[in-house]
Amino acid sequence: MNPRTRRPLDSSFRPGYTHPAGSEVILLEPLDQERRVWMVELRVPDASLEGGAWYDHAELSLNELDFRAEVEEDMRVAEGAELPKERPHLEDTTVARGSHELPRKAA
Amino acid sequence: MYISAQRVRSPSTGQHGVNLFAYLHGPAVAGQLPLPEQNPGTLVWFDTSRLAPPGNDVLSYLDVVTYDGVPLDEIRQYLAALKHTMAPGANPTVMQWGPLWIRYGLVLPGIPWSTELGALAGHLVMRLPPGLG
Repeated sequence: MNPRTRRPLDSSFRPGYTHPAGSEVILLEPLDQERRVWMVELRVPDASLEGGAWYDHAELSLNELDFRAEVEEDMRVAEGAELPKERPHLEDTTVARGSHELPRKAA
Repeated sequence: MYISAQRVRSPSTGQHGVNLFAYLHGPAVAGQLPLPEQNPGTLVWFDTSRLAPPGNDVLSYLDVVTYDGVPLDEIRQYLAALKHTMAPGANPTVMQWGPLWIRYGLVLPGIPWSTELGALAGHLVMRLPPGLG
């Protein structure tokens, strides 16, 4: 196991993308709401190691990446999407219920 | 706490929208999240104003379970970033992330997987009432 450190990363690191240096960024937990700082795990490829990589923890400030703006855009796109006409196999219930009781339609 | 977002479509009009539900559980045993099928909890809030049940087709759903005491602001942070962490797997896709148990089902593909995940999470982020929990 590699020693885990907490160090700030520069803005070239992003979750879901592979850094040009080869590091993969995995979001772990939010550390600060207003500054949007996250604890992230870095997966750094290293063929000489068993498992092919070493891991490190770091702090990543996502000030340039607005997650809320992203989901708002997803909401907008989804609202305007043209959906297939076929009917799915689930339907909602007679009373307001969550997904744990969705009935399946008969085939 | 169990919160759920469902995209539903009326079979008669074709109109679709996202309905939301929130349940609370009270004190829970640490390390044992109350999963919906075993213990959905008590329904404390819902917003089905987009398309009233019943009988609508369910196109997709996002279920999130955590402990009642987890602050809603913290839950919102995880949900807003969810599409950067959850990867397509089985349908539904299930994962545990931080204090959250998450299940996402795309029943009728049409909206891209990641876009719909972001959209359902966005409805929970934007529309859940502040006092919940």
